[in-house]
Amino acid sequence: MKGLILKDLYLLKGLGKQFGLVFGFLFLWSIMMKSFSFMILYCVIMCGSIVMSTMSYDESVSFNRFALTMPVNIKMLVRAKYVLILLILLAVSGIGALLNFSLPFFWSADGGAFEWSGIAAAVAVFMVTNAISLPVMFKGGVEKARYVYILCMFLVGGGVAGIAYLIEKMGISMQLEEMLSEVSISIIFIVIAVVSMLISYFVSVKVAGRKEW
Amino acid sequence: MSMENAISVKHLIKEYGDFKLDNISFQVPMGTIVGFVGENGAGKSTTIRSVLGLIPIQQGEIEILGHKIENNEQNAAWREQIGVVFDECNLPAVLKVRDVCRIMRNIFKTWRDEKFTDYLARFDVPLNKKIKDLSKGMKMKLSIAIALSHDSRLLILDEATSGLDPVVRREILDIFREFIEDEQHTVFLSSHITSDIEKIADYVMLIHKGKILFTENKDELLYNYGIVRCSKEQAALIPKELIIGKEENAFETSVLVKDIGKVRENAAFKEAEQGNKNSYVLDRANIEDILLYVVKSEEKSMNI
Repeated sequence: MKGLILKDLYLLKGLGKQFGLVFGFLFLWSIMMKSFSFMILYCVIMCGSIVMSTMSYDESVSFNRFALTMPVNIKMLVRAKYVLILLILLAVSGIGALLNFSLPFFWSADGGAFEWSGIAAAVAVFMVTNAISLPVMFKGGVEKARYVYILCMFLVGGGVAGIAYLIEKMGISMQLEEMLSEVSISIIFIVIAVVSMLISYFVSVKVAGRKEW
Repeated sequence: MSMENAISVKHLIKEYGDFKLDNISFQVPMGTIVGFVGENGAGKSTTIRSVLGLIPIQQGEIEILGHKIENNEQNAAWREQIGVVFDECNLPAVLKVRDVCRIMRNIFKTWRDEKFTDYLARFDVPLNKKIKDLSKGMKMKLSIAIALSHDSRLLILDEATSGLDPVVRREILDIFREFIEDEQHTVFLSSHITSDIEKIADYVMLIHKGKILFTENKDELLYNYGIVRCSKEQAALIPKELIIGKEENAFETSVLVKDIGKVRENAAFKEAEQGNKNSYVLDRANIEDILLYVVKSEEKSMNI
């Protein structure tokens, strides 16, 4: 599996310049806006397209079929993609944490608040969206998965935003904030994300196992 | 567990909508090169994908190097001993050749860097180039270098030489010959370029419309099979069990027979030979002739 992840990292290296430019632009934007939240949010969303890009490279040359002629089984093939998502997410979260700690260097202590629960919600939306689109990718290919990904982003993201809006309208928001700390809300989102990814992994293994390579 | 055969297939059935691998059985003996021929769509790739466990089969038993292949196989360790090359390079085009070495080192336990770089040097494949910048021939050589740079005892090649120029093809065929020299290595090569099979195969296996028509020793095949060009009346005298295929036109009838010796022994043909009366011509058949006659006669029988 290490070889498969390494292959994806080499593929990402090729996309490095592209992502570097976007990252640089967002960094400047964040400095001007005195908030890194949007930047982290955007990076989290971009992670999905990164994984799709590696799958797209694989698909164009039937790499998975070739991989299955090597000492690689279906589980390893599927797991490698999920590990890649986690690695990218960890990298983005790491950058987020680093920026968070460096906040005082950019702004005075009272400026530039960093909303962890917001980021956790974004991570959850991202992971649930990926959890739905990854089995589709293994079954029907990257093109179908891209549509599903965009649709899910709207549905899941819209759903979360809608629920948040309703909660606030009904006045539950204040009570929630009293009941749960920001850390607790973040943990709830992370648990949702992890559970959805676990379910998705097992579905992907099933789907990929039935596929004709 | 028989280890005399590198590949053993028994009663394999694989059905798609309009295509069926129809109860096929064959063996690939250890230490040999077996050429697998058939027209496009005959079932070569489906057979290879079934053998490799890439597609689930409906029925049958498959063994590779003594390992029984199951549908949705999870044990992948045995694949350490096989090298597979398809008709295209299956590595993402943006990777560098150098990256491929590092990736494979982390996939195969028995991967050997020096063997890989030696092959690349021999093939003139530059390490620093991206795969997309390599010619088709170089890409195939890279795929073959990967297949040979770990402890592979069996090479399975699906149309690996198609689309390559004769010089590159000859180079690649030479490598396959070297590979089996110690008689512990085996090559199973599918191709519709019959001249390649004729050059290197020990055995020839012919598949047509999902059925294995024969597996024969190549030398015996080329020695025994022949084309009799004669009159319609003479053709009628050839025993039916010897006839593989027949072609007729206004001037002559040509018949592909599986034993030219037996045709020569036939009294009517002996007489014609001795008396030079109603003479006939007997040509040796090559694999391409055999393939063409078989396919044509099959089509004719279907039209009838």
